[in-house]
Amino acid sequence: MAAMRGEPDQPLVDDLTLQRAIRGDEAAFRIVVSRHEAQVFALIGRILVRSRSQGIVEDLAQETFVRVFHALPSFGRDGRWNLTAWILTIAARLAIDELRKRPRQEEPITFDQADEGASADGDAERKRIAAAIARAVEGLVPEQRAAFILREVHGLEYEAIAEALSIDLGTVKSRLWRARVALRAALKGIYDEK
Amino acid sequence: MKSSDLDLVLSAWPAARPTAGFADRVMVACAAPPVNVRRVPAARPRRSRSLLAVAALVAASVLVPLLLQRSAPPQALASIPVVADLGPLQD
Repeated sequence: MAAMRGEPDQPLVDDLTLQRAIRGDEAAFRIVVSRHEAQVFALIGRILVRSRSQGIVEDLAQETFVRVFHALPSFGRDGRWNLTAWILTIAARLAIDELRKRPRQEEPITFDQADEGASADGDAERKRIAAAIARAVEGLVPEQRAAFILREVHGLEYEAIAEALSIDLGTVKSRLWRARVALRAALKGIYDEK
Repeated sequence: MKSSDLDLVLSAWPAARPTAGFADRVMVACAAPPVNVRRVPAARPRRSRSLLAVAALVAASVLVPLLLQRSAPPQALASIPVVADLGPLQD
């Protein structure tokens, strides 16, 4: 199980439920979906950045779980049992494919509806940071974005990212390094104020 | 930028959230046949009807002339010239 940032290193789905889902139990699969849907939506939305209309994100999230459902009977045959990393891998690949199909958009990034739970005081600041991150991430090629988000937001191991993006370990590390440099540059003004 | 700083910054990055009933829609989609698989057309009755019609046409085109020929007087046989009786064969 991939360690998610700020979360305990425990599987989101217990072994018994997973085995039932693998055998085609629909109730068990529904649990798999409900435990992973938030992460899948977050990952796809962040990789797509500006192209992330709720409809597209939902379509890709649904496609992710449909693929998981059909591929689940063969899950674990290759010796890997990290269900969350596997699901996020499928979601990331779908999001990258979607990104390649779409032309680059030029309108400014805003996060007017961002983070409904934020307090009024911190809201403007959070929106400013969010827009800066989005700008930085959008400057990355799709695979770099995905590598950065999978690592820094979802906490996947380097090996899992390499497998997810079909690249070698060295490429993962170099892409992450470039992404961090870009992010640092984009957030420089904000960090200098803190 | 330290790792803890990055965590702080990333926590301000809003995430898309699942809509209500998403899992239900996924279950419905999973029950449907895969989109990429080329489906066999379900219009079998139409195909068999058209096949039956062709078979009936062929049968009719063969049988009707035959039946008409049978019901007609044996003119064809009558028109064959009678060969003269040469009597029993000789050794």
